[in-house]
Amino acid sequence: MPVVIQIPTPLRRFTGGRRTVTVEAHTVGAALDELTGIFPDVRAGLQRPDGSLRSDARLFVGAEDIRGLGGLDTPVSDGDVIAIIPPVAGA
Amino acid sequence: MAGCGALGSASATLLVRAGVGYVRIIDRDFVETSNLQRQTLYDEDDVASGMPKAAIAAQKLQRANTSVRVEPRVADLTASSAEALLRDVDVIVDAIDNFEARFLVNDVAVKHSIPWVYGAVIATYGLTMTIRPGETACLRCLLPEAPAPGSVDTCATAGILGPVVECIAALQVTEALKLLLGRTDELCGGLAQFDVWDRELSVVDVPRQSDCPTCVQARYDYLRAESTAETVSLCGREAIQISVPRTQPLVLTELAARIRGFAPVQESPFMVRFCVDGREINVFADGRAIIKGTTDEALARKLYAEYVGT
Amino acid sequence: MIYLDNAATTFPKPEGVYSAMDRFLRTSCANPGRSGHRMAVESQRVVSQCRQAVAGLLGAPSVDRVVFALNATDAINTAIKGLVRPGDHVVSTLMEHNAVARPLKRLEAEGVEVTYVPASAKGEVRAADVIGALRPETRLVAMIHASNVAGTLQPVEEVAAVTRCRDALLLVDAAQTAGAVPVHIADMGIDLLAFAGHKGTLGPPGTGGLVLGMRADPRPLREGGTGTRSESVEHPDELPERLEAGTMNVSGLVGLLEGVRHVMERSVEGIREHELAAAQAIEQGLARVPGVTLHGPRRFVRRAGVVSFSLENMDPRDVAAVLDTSFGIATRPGLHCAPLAHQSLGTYPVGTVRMSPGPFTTEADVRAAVDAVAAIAGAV
Repeated sequence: MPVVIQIPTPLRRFTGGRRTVTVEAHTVGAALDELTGIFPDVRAGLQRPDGSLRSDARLFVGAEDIRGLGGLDTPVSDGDVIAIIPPVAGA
Repeated sequence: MAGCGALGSASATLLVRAGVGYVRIIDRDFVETSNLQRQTLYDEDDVASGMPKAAIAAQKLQRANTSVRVEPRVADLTASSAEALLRDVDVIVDAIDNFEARFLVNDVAVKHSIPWVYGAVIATYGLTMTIRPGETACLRCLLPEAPAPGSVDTCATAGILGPVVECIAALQVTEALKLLLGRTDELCGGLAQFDVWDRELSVVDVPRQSDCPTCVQARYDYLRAESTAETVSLCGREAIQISVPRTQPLVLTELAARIRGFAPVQESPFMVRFCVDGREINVFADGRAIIKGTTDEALARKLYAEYVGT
Repeated sequence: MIYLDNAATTFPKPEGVYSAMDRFLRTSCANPGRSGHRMAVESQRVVSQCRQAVAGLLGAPSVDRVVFALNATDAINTAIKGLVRPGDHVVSTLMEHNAVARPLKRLEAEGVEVTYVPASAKGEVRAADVIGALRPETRLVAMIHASNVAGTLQPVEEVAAVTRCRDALLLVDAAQTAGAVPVHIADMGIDLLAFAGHKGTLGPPGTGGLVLGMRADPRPLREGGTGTRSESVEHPDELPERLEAGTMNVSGLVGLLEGVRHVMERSVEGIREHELAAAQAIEQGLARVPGVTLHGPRRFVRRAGVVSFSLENMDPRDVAAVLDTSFGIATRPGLHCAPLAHQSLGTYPVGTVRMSPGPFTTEADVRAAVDAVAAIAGAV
């Protein structure tokens, strides 16, 4: 099922400048696997060196935080939008 | 105003001109030429004067509206200073450049039930979220811990485009004015992200976390200095060591790649070394840094925040 | 963590130190010599036992001439400021720790003249030079027993052989040696010996003291409660109370007592042999690493178990930070609170990296340390 992943500006240099990436997946985790399969460098923005999800990278399906849904197992269906919100330090 | 750099210049101006009766401007920093592209309160004379940002900002803004009390505080937000600097205001507007100080603001805000408006920018992108302790998610509901050092872009490594600062500050001040007016039912909920280059604005909901250490468990880890950086002056030639209490290791290669964009980097499997403004910054695998060429701990913390990132 | 910073404070402590302090704090932690109830008596007893143990270890002429202090620095301040007056002359050396150098600097501003005897590039001070600097008005000779930077043992006995026949008193800073190198105040002719409780004697930080020979009688720098002669507002004249105003660090002294007992069981000579073997192995290993320069004497006869080195093209502070962050090895970089000694060794102001093994350092620790330095040298 095609779902759209929104790439936030700080991670776009790892996706060749693309703002969205459409992948086929049934869960958020699978969608991210697809994403990092296409753009391996984006991994640094999402995962720790050991492969676990970075605690400071927030993922949303639509407007909802996946922590309130099913985490990486949250199901996604056709047309869903996954948003990534990265930590931002500057002022 | 917690911080008076880019976001602070924009927000402080709007608040004072709006006639907010009392504005306290807290900043530890001095003006540098590289700031002027986005920090609109300052000019080249201010770089030459060597005056602190907080003092300059207060002086200039006072002229814009003499009926407002503008009070500068040239101070570093640390575990020992944050409460005294922040606890007696009605609203805190965040214009800070590092996570550690932001988490300190969050601790004080939650502890003393002060609403605050989180705002942060990088490159062409920014975020803002209004935090009302006990009502909405707090910063630690959003981010349980600060990112590993060296794992995020900073104003020095990625830069900040001037216009995005004005946009995020405008959103922040609008929320701050609603808070001051007591019109809390009209606040915009959620976390807004905005890219000024692509003109994309979207809002997501950030839920309160039932196990949030700060707003649920009332554990103020940053105020208790359990999660803040320790600085020590090292003997020998001038140097300050900054140690950050992190469970996440720093990825040296990642940091080196980020720095290489603007300064030559010496890299080994054990450390990364580079120079900025005549100061040598040495970063080690656990996120610790030795900053040589200064004995000023506040300056060392500033350089760490700017180039390594906390 | 591999701990090679025993010259700063020893770690770990013997198991008995931990358990005795825990037990004491839970059961008997009263103010010694004050109240007379059984807990106070028990506190008094451990202080006395600790005093006896230290007197035995260091060869004090009598038990009451062991005076407890916060640390070696505190003891040295009592010795120097309690004895020297404006117009007096003091002889010291250019190998001193700031614990001696800074009080003397302060007294120089108050009209005391100080002669600093130079050291060789290996950190050795010649006894003849110290003796040659003595004058009729010399009140005190203050010298370090073993350099905390290079480990060099100074010729304390040769100096004592002369000072014991003169009016000058000999103060020895034994922070690095008490418990780790045989010391006998009475036999060696030392007049005042300052020791740190938390180093060679394996006690906790916050302990230390001054041992007085029969000729030394410093004025107290502090007056106050002693638990004795409470009827009088005059501070008591008896030792050790005269120099121990205020509630003592009893829980610390309980730990110190256990530390000293451990040292006595293993014997100072045994511990010294162990530490020298480790230091020698570190030095031999480092000598084979390209880019390493070793500082201090090469011989292990007049030497404490301290190794100071530099790595070509690397700031010692960076070397120590890498040893810590990438290898989990604790060392101490820089000037080691001894700028004078580093000037003598030619390592000022950059300093050195210091590795100081202790009674519990293993051969595996030594190998890991040498391998780590080799890896760092290879990556520069």
